[in-house]
Amino acid sequence: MASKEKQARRKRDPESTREAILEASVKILARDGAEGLSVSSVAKLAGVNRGTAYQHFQVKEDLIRATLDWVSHQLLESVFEGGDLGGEPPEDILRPDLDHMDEVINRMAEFNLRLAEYAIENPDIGRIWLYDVLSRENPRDDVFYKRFAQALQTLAESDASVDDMDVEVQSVLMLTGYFMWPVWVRAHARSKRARKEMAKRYAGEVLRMSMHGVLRADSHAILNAFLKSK
Amino acid sequence: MESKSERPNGRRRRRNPEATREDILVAARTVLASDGPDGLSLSKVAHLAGVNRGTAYQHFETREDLIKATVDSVSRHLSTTVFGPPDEEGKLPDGGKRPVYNVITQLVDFAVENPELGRIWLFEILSSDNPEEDVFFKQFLQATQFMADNDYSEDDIDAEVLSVIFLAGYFLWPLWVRSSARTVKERREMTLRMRREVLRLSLHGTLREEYFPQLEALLQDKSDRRLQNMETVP
Repeated sequence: MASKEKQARRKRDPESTREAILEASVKILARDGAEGLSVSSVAKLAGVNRGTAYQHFQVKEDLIRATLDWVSHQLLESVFEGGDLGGEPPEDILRPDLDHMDEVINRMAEFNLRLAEYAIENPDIGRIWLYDVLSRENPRDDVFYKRFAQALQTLAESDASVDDMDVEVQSVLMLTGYFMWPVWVRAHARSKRARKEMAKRYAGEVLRMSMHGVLRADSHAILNAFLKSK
Repeated sequence: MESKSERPNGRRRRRNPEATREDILVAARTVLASDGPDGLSLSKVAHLAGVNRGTAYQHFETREDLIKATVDSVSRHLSTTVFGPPDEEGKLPDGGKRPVYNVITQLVDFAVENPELGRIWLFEILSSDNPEEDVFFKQFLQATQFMADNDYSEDDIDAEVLSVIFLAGYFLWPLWVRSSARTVKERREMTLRMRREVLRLSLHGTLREEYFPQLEALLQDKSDRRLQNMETVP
C-alpha cells in the first residue's frame, strides 16, 4: 500500500501499471470524490502515460467501477487472508467443538484486531468502501460484505454462538463501525503507537460485547419478555 | 417526521427570513442526500427551494457555509427526535435517563424512515476532523456513558467505541431495507429485526459465555499477550 514501495515496484508490465493506476485512483477518489476524478488526473498521479491509462480504462466510469471493486477485493484479501470469494470459507476457520474453543477465540481476536488495524492504517480504503456501500442499489452484493456475513453465518450455526442471531443485522452492525472508528482515531492519535492502542480498544470492545452484550441480562426481565414475544 | 423533512416546496413558505432559511436548509438536505456534498451548489438548492438566488446568498455566503449549516441542522434534528430538546448547555434533557429501549426504538425507526438524513450524517462524519464535536454524537455518547456507568449494564464498557458501533449500524441498515423491502409491511418487519437484534445483542452478546472461559480471561487481563503481541499491520 505504501507509495514508496509502489514506485520502486512498478515495472512496465500491464498488470503492475493497472495496479499503480488503481492505487492512485483510490487516493483521488477518497480526497475529491467521484466528481473530482478524471482518468488523466489519475494517470498523472500514478506517473503513467495518459494514453496508457486510457488503454486500461476507456472512460471515467470504468475506472471508478474498477476502483470500487479493487477496494472490496483489497479488503477481502487483507482481512480474510486471501479467502476465496463466493466459495465456502476454509474448513478449519471454525471448529467449534469444545476441544477447539481456544483456537476459535484466537482467530476471532486476531480477526477483530486485524480488521481494526487495517481500517485505521488504510482510511482511504475504508472511506471508499463505505461510500460505495452507501450508494449501491443493493449493498448485499458487495464481495467483502458477503464474505463477512458468511463468516458470521458459520459462527451462528455453530455451538459456540447464542441461538437466534439475525446474521444480516449483526453483519451490518459489526462491520460498519470498523470503518467509522478511524475518523475518531485520526482526530486523536498522533503516533503509530497511539493508533495501535486505539485499534486495540476497538477490537477489545467488540470481543467484550460478543461475550457479554451491554446490559446485565438478569436485571432485564422485561426486555427478555419483549424478545420472546413476537 | 417524513412529511416535515420533505415538505413540498413553496406551500407553507412565508416571506419571513426564518422560514426562507428553513426552506433552503430542507432543500439542501434533499440535494446532499441524493448528490453528496460534491454535487451541491447554492443555485441548485435555491432553485429547488423556490427561492431567489440572491436571497439564498444572503443567508449563506458560500457553498461550504450552506453544507455546514445543513449538516448541523440534521444533527440537531436527530438529537431532538431521539432525545428530546436539549437544555441550554447542550446536555441531555433528562440527563440520559431515558430508557435504553426507547432510545433504540426511536433511533432505529427514525433511521429507516429517514434514510437520507442518516446518509448526510454519515457522509459528514466520514469527512470530519472532529467527529466528537458533532451535536448528535455528543448526546448519543452521553446517553451511552450514562448507561455504562449504571448498575444495570456490564462493567468495562468502552462507551466511545460502543457509540460508534451502534450509530454506524443504525444508519447503514436502512440501505439494506431499501434494497429489499418493497412494501410498508416489509419495511416494518426489517425495522423490527434491527430493534430486536440490537436488544438481543445488548442482552446476550453473540457467544455462549460458558464455552469461553479463556476469552473471559483475555478480557479481564488487559496485558494478555494475545492482545498485546498481535502484530498484524504489515
